[in-house]
Amino acid sequence: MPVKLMPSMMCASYAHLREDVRLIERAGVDYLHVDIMDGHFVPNLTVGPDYVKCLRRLTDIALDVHLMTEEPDKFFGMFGLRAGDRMSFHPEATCHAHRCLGKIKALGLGAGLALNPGTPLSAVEDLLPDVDFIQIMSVNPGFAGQPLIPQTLDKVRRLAARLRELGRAVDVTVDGSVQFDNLLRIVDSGATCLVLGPFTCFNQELGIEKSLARVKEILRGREGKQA
Amino acid sequence: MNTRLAPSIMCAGYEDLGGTLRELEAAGADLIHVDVMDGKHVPNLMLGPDYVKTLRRLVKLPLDIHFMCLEPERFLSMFDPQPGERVAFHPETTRHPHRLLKEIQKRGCLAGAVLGPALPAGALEELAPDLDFITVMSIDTGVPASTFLPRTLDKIAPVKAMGRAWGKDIYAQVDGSIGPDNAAQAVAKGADVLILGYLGCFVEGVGIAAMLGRMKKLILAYEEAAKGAAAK
Repeated sequence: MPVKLMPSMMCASYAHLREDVRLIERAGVDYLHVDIMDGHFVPNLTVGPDYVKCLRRLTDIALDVHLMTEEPDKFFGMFGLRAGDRMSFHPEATCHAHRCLGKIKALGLGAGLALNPGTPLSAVEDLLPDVDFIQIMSVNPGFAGQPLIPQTLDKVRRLAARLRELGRAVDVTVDGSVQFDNLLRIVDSGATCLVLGPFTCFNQELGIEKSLARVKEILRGREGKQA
Repeated sequence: MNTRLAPSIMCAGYEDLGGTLRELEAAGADLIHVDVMDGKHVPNLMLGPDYVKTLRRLVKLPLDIHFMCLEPERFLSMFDPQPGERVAFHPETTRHPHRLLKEIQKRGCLAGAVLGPALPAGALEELAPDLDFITVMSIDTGVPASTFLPRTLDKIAPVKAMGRAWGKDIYAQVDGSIGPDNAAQAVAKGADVLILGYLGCFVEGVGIAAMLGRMKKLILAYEEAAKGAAAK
């Protein structure tokens, strides 16, 4: 299965969003990843439902909304998403993670969990039968451009193994510090979906088109080797 | 014209912010009003520090940052307001509103308190000597383009009087559903700055320049008439 790519829109330009979306569309990606922060669950604030609705108008690319907020279920219905889009929240931010998964599914969306670097897999073991995808944070959430926390890739490996055991073919996303030189290591750990930020999509030196082309080239090289 | 106009940038959309800001500057906006919402003090979420940094890069007009957040003191360093910017918060969202006013002023910013529709002017009695400005919400906080509440304008005069008693000239902003129908009314009640959203600036089918031009013309006409009446 080809690795899925998701540019992280918090790294896109606020000055000319429409242009950035066009460039991403031309390159071809699987989802646009949108980080929603409340300044409480994480020490940063980004954008909200109006921004997500704007993306929905600008493009047909599926959206992957990542809620980094306390009481995430307050926000589930506010984004104007549609079938094919998906939404994740942090089980650390609610007492009712299982109920939250159900609420997202009831909206017709894919429901996922995002796990902080400090959260063990055992904390979500009982939720695995009901998730549509899982996102492993390889940095502490809130800011782009931080260094990767190595043990998080071991968590990805253990999660991928556990999902195989359970016979669950759901996406394992890695979010945080995906770079050209660690990308294969991340995929080899078991990631099936990558969030691309300031290094591999919105790279100031290369620009969006060349960054995404380079990611795809690296992944093609791996597929070639496997074949 | 004495009254200043502050378009609320949350109403500008996200597609082409650079283009919109150029239009606002050319149309003679005086300030850019920035709503920061945390999904707790108000139901919506929007406009974080990176967005605000982009505004600073794209526009020379001073920013008027409105924290609609719980514990706004935590957001102050996050947003890192620059000298000359205006920063206002809802006093009921923090245990230490006076400390926060002084923290804002220490940064070289003007510090303001926002009065939600339910908060009486009296809530600012002890803050007035250190207030640079107030923002009076003329709608339910965080619900754009909702019903205009004329009675909220009556809070401007008492707050200004509290300031004057301490030799402090507090200016007043009015925020919420201000448009051609009520702009003069707000100015008559003491508004120095009108914050303009979907009714007063970003009106579907009308360009920004045309709408701001219309607002200016009507406010100027009111100001002239008021001056004339005072001279008599």
